[in-house]
Amino acid sequence: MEKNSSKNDIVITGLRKIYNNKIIFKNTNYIINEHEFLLITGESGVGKTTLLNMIAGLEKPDSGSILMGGKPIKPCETGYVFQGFYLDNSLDISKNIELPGIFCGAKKNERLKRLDILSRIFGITDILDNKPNEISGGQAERVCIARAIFNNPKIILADEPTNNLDRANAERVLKLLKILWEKTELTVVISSHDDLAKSYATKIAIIKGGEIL
Amino acid sequence: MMLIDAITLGVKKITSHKKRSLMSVITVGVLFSLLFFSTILYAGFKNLLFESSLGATGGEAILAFGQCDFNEDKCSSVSEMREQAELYAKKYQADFKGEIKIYKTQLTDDEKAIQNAMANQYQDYHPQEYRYITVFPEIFIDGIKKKNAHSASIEEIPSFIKNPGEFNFLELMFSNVNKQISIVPPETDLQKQKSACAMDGDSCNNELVFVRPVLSFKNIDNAIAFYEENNSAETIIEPIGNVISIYNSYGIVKKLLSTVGTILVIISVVIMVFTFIKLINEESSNIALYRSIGAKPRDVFGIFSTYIIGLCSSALVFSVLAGGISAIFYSTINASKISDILSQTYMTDIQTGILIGFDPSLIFLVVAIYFSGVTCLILTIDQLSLKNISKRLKQ
Repeated sequence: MEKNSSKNDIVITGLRKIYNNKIIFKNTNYIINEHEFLLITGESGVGKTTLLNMIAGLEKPDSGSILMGGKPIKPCETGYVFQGFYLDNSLDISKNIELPGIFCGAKKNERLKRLDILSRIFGITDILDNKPNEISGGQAERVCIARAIFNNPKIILADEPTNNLDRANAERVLKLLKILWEKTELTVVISSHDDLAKSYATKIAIIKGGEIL
Repeated sequence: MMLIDAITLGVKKITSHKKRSLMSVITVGVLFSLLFFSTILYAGFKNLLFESSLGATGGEAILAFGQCDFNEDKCSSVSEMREQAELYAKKYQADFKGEIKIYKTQLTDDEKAIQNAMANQYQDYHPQEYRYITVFPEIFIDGIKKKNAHSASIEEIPSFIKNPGEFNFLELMFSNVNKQISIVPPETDLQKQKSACAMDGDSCNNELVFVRPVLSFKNIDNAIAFYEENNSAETIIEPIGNVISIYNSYGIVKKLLSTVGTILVIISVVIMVFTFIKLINEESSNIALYRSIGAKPRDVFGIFSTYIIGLCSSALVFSVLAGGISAIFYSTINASKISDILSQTYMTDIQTGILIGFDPSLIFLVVAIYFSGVTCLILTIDQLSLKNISKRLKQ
């Protein structure tokens, strides 16, 4: 109970969402504790991505709230890893990583400093000038995760990060997220129906019948 | 997000999708370069015509307007026409030079005999009874200003004299008919009675049949504006000199270009808008990405405004260069030929000049290009929302 009252807990209260006339969430309450590695699982179309989007502030609930420290979460406070490790092909890798900093108002000097540190941590210094279509799938995964933590967020959201990946690659991504989680104060929330992800999570939430169990 | 970052990202979009950007710029550019080409040539053509027309009037555009046809009893009063002329002079910063007066006199016995002879020889020839004498208040003949110069003619040229060589004597006889300014007949009935005639027609033995006020414009643009305004009304207006056909040609070319040009501009704008909308729609996933990692709608709008305005500017540069260079090329090759054709057609000295120029409608073309860009941005504004963001990211 003491942990539930932590400042950076994500508190979901009375969450209700209807999507295409289907009730996705019906008056759901849930708390994601600070520095938790939470796996959200459930069948396809049950609302895993919708929940992540609502946590990131990209979609609004029909009613209820998702708050962190009593306030709604803004996109700049989260790092989002998208399914398929999506990158903007018109920009080089360095600009792709910098994007969250650009949009969230980080100064150029600060951005370059962060880029330098992150590229060394993730071992992508030699591909910074490349275009996304010039790098490997593994490198793209690391670039996307580097981009997600660029703004030093409190939460990392990963939507089906192992989807369409072979087992080796899926394991590599999950390991990377786990190492990141271990070495920082980040809260990591991933949605996946992949059993492999279960072994990495510290907690598993199942979405079923409009509830988060 | 800083403005400079939006511009940087927008420019990167243009340069990184070189092929796509180039194709869009060429598609739009080719359409507009045709418009620039024709407008630049049209402006040059207009300048050539109007500058040439000034040769006959000593550097001033002289236009006569209105009519006071006493034969048909259409004229209310000469003073009323003068009043109107003063108003026009004020409005268009012109000088009211007085009136052109046309008198008619009976032909001499010798002339009547020739007329009758022609009527006997040619069935469709109607013998003329009068010589018409035109008195100009002030004109330039071969660069020399002459007051109250006048010309005489025996009405229309019969159609049969248009066969050169066949009726040389008739050609000679009527050669002055359409060259009112370039000739001053040595002796006319009017001149003979000049001392006894007050030159206002009313007290003259010659019968005054026609009065037209004359305005002189130092500024050719004012002359054109006056001509265009009055030409569209029922008022009869014409330039003095051998340039009536030139003004008429200009009117035809202008009408043709403004009709065809307007249709072409509308088609070009529609194609341009659809081309750019397609580009923005192809960026739907990137827009969703930006929004999901913290970009506000205004940030995304800034990036894509730069992108589209950049493409518009590239299309503009392409159009101006392609259209302008083509116009210069065309002009260099054809200017002398066109001047010769026009000189022969209009029987006036049309100088050989570069057939390119500036016309205000060029600004309209520039506006049309940027209007298309802005329209495209407005029509794709819903892309800035977070609607279907997951679906768009998975595309």
